Amino acid sequence: MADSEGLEVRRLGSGAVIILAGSVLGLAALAITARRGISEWPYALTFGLLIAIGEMVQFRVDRSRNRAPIATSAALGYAVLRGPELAIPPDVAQVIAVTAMATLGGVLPRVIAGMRWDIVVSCRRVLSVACASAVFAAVTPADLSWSGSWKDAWPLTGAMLLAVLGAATMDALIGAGQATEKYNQPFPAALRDEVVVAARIGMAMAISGVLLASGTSLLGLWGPPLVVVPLFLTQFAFRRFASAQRTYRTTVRSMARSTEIAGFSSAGQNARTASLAVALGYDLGLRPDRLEALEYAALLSGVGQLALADPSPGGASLLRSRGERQQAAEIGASIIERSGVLDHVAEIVRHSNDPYRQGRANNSDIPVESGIVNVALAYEQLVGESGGQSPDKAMESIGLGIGAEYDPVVVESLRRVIGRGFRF
Amino acid sequence: MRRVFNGAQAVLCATAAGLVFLQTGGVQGTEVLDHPGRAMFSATAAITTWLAVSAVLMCLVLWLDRGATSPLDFLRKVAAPTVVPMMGYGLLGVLLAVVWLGGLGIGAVFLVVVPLLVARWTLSLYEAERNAQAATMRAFIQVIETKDLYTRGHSERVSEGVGMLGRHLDLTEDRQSALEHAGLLHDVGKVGVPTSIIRKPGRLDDSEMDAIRLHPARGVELIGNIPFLEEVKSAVLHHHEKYDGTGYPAGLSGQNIPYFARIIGIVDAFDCLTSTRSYRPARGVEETLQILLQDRYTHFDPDLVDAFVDVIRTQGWKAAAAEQPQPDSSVEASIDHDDLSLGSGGGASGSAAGPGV
Repeated sequence: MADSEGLEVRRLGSGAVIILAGSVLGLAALAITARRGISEWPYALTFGLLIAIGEMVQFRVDRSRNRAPIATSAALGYAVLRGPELAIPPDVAQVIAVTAMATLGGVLPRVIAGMRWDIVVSCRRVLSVACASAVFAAVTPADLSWSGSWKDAWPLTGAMLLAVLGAATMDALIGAGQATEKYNQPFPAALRDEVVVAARIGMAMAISGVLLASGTSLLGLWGPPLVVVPLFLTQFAFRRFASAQRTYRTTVRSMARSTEIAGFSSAGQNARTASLAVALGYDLGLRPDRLEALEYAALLSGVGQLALADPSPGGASLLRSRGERQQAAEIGASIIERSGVLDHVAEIVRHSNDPYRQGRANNSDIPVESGIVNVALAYEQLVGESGGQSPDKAMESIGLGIGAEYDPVVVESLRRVIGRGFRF
Repeated sequence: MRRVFNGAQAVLCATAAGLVFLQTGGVQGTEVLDHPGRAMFSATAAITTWLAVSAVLMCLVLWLDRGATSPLDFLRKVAAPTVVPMMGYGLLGVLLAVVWLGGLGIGAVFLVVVPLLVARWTLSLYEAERNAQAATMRAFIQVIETKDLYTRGHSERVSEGVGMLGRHLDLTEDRQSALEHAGLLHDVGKVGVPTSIIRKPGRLDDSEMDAIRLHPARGVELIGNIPFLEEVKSAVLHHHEKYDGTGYPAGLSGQNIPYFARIIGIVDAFDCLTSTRSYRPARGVEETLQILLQDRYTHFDPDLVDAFVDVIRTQGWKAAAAEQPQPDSSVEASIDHDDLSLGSGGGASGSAAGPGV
């Protein structure tokens, strides 16, 4: 209990720092702007409104990050405005103040309506937009604007891209730090994942921001409507994708529960095994797509049993003979292969019951995920509901099988994960 | 031919759009930057014209080509859902021109193309995800069907059958795909029925029958977390209800049985009767349709039966494949839980088909 509380406080840790930094920055910017007075308020209002709407219609792309692409594009766009229509470009403090206020304005309705909201993610955006604005102000001479000549347009676009690149770097660093803390993922692996996300979704948001800024600089307030329609369309396409993805994930999880309904495993066994396997995967720094395959493999590692005639007592597959277990794994893999889309998952399941010495030790083609599923299954059998051993005792039993039954690298990772207070 | 048409269509659309652009006082060149309002107005008018001309031409061609497609149908199904995206991408084209004029030249293309590519990529991801889900569910259903050699392919065929009936009933796209999902998953709860009962060749006793009657509830337990339309879950739960109220699990009758469940009940019975069972060979399609027609009112929704008989008579039915084992002549006559044949039509007694008969 004390361990998990410690974990909770630590989890809040970086989040608290981000919230603090975001709100201090926002308040300071607001104070400066209030003293100086707001410049070009129609633009401030338009972009503020866009950010607020974008924040309101945010959605979750994958398991942890919730993102508001329209709000991000609008905020970045506001940070890099510069043109003939805008006599005084919005200065850094004003950009931050508008972003912070609009973000709050967008989050509040969600809070009131009881929808998902995450102030940490919103603060991350305030910080990265501040970064973009500072970079843009630093590299752009005061007299540079969209004059219609390429001599001005190219350096200006370059400065805009540099600014959004700065924002992306900032966001990736913060995100990687958070992932390291939350999932105990090694920092380089977390940073690599964040950069991949930034290169795909982040780049689209950034380019849309630049487009929004150029259009607005050139056309005045006619600009935003031009960009916003396609932005919303992309957002809706993404939402549809996100919901299809959610449906697919729940489908796989539900299908995995069939072994419980058929009496082959105890209730929640698949979910427990999968949560441990994912924790091990994070600890070993697996890429997100491989983590996903690992989770599916851990969930589905038992489906092969469905083709066997009778449930084993108590769903304890460890009680079965090795031959039977390997047969079940083989059947399970061929079942999963039949779907035609989860080939990697099938490969993991196929070897999930191979002893390390006869499997991975000599055959590097067998994925490390198979070893992870093997260890996670064993630990769950010992500590979970049907086993009921203490974690220490289970570690001892598993330790006896190092090198012969279990992959030493994975067992070492299990020791770390359990040591940090992992509980089912 | 198609390409020629597309080319010709583009030329005609562009001509019309250009004329409208000039008529509405469209400004050109760097003047756009000085009169953004006027430029926007004429550009929007031009895009609208383009879309309208394109829609009219498409209607015309479809009418000439097939004759049967009504222009209204085309407008409702194709034109209406795409008009907003088309407008949006048209406006993005205007922006491309503006940024180009702003001095960026060819570099403007990069700024515009990236968001477009992302939109495309997203759509392809969406498609991939949906296909993956369908494939995974199919594979999974096949596993459950390995329990019984005689029901192999049953769920797929039911899904196909309800799909045919659904299209005949003109469901919306959402509900059509939900109905096909429900058809595929209706027996998923059988995973909770012991294999020994499912494979048992002789007559089932009461406790075994009770175990089988649990399968709809088990099915809902399994798929309950998946964000399907509610109709999918109610169809899985109630697909063994009968029109006269003698079915299970709830004994619902008539129109109280959910719509999808009534549809699946019919196709489910039809596929069972046209497939081989251990105690009898497969029946012919026409013979089975007669049984369904006889059992309307007692078992099935009469209107839906009529519609289904219509569909099968016009479109035909791909009966269960020959891979099924031959009926085992040593097995005594009995019926399994899906076999709904009653009275004069089937020859088996109805006592095992549901409670209270």
